[in-house]
Amino acid sequence: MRNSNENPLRPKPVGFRHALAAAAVLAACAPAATAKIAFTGYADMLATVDSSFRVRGPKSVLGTLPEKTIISRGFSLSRAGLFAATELDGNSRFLMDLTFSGIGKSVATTDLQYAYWEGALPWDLTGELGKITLPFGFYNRNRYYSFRRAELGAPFFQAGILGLPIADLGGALYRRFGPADGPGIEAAVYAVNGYGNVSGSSTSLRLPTVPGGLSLSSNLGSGNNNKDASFGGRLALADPNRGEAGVSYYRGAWDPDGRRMLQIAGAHLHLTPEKFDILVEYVHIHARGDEGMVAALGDSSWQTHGAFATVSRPLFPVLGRPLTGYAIGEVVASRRNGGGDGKEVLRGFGGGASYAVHEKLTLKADATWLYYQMPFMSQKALILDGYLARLAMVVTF
Amino acid sequence: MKPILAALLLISPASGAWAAVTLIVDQEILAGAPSGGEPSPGVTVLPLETAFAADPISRGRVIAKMRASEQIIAVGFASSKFASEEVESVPLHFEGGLTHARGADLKARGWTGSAPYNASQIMGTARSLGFKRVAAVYTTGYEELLTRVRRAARARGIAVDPFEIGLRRDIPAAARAALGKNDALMVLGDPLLTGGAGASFLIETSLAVRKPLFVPGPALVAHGAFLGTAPDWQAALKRARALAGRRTDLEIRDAPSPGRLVFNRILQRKWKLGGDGPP
Repeated sequence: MRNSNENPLRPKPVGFRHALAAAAVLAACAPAATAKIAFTGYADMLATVDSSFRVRGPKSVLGTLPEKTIISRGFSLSRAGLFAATELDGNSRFLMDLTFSGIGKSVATTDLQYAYWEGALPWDLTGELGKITLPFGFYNRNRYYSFRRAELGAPFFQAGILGLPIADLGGALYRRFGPADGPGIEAAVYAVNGYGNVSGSSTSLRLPTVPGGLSLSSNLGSGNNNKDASFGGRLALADPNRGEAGVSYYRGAWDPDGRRMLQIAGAHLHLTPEKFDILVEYVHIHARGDEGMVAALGDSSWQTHGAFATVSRPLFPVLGRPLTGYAIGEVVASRRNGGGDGKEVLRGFGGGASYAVHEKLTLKADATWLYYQMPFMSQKALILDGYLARLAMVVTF
Repeated sequence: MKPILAALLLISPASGAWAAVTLIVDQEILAGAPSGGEPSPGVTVLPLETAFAADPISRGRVIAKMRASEQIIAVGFASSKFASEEVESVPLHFEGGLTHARGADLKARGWTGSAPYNASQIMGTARSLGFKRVAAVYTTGYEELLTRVRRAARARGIAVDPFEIGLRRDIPAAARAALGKNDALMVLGDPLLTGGAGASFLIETSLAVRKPLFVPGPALVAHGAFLGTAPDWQAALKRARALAGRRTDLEIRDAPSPGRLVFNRILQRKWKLGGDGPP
């Protein structure tokens, strides 16, 4: 298994070489006579108006970080992305997203969020091959990008720990049963390399360290860490005019020996009654053999139950364009299988507004409260709680 | 990653020679269309949704599809605007939305299409309102449309006074001169004259001298233009389907069939033109 050596709370950097290789393939895949690549993109500019988080925890976990209240304010170009698309023939195309984040004098992270071939196959199937965004839940494929949602920020657990977008190397097959503009059933199956272990420990899926290995997102490496692929699927009843309800599943061994299993199950409900947009998503994680979490949860087998909900609605017009209000909330808890005292807890609630100045420029403002607790068997718990108020500008081009 | 990408190279086609016609249509026009059955071979219909412009991923997919086509036909104002902005080297035909194309592009790129308005219908209305002289502002590339407007006007005993606009700075002088000696001013098309500062100046001048402004589409009527046309989009979609793949009948013209005239009721009452509506 090859794992990222970077900060595990951040998406895995792909590296300039890989990005260049993918770009070269993208260009090569486009037939010479019609080598026309469409480039579009986006940029998220963020201003943290006020942020205050109190950090408490055992010294052995915090390391050099003191127990105190951390206040921060500032501006950042949180990310900028370039999308490339080219038609290979009438029925297939190659699509790619190159995202830059940690932007300062230089770019800290370059992510190839996705890079895949997509094409029509027999039996009304659509196939994807390459680095694909997994068909898991609703948020992952439909709301990950800031220009596709009213909210300023994504749910913390989904974004910071499970990882957004959940994208990996492999393939997926899609099929819709029913008309495109009416109710139908959407089915998807996929096979990917899957989640691996955290960097530096072949027996740990997560590590309770700060900023450390809490996030699973960095466990999606550039290769498979064992001989087996990970599998999953998604089944949804979808109506473009009303919303959709569905279930998702992921299963795969995460350790080099292929014995320690990770399973993720999800359920989602997206409704659009009147002018509302309501999304409720539930996720259940079941991990086995994770020595990294023994110190926190008391067992190497643990499970997570969590859910988040977002509600948005246009409130009133400002200069002829709607001001959309929204609210977001999430509750997540992890504990060892069979129960126990130690419980990882994450709660987050927030609200804000979004205003499209014009079709390519959106302003957002939000305030969010967050509480996070990671227990330790022989020490006091690590607790992080506080709030942040932010302004953002989303530009698409 | 490398083995997978290498596999992609193997399965990609060796040549891009395929017959492809893309019909890009406003979503609401498609939603109102009767089921057309199976699409014609080689014709792809792309619906353009309202929220589309804000999503660069969807936009990129459609642009890639359009640029790989051999011919594009746009139906609807949003689709015409989108196609005219994103396409450069592919033959483009606007069915009903020609006026979203810059005159210079019509001329330089050989683009074709029909305007939202029917010249006979507009001139018939001008005649019924008692107008004898109508000025027409246009840009280079719209000459064929001017010819049709002139022909329709002549048949109804109306003289057309043409004003060619080269640059934005020509608009004020042309607008004042055109409205000074004519009964009304008709805008033939081009975003230079139908949007932004150009359209605003034409509307302000029209209101200042109390002479009607005829515009191509209905949108500017809410902003002070006197008359616009809402085309019969279903008829336009039908024509577009028939035209797909045929290059011989493509030309620059007015709408083959009359649309729904949209009047500015406030100006009608204020200027006492046509009572509650045109005859």
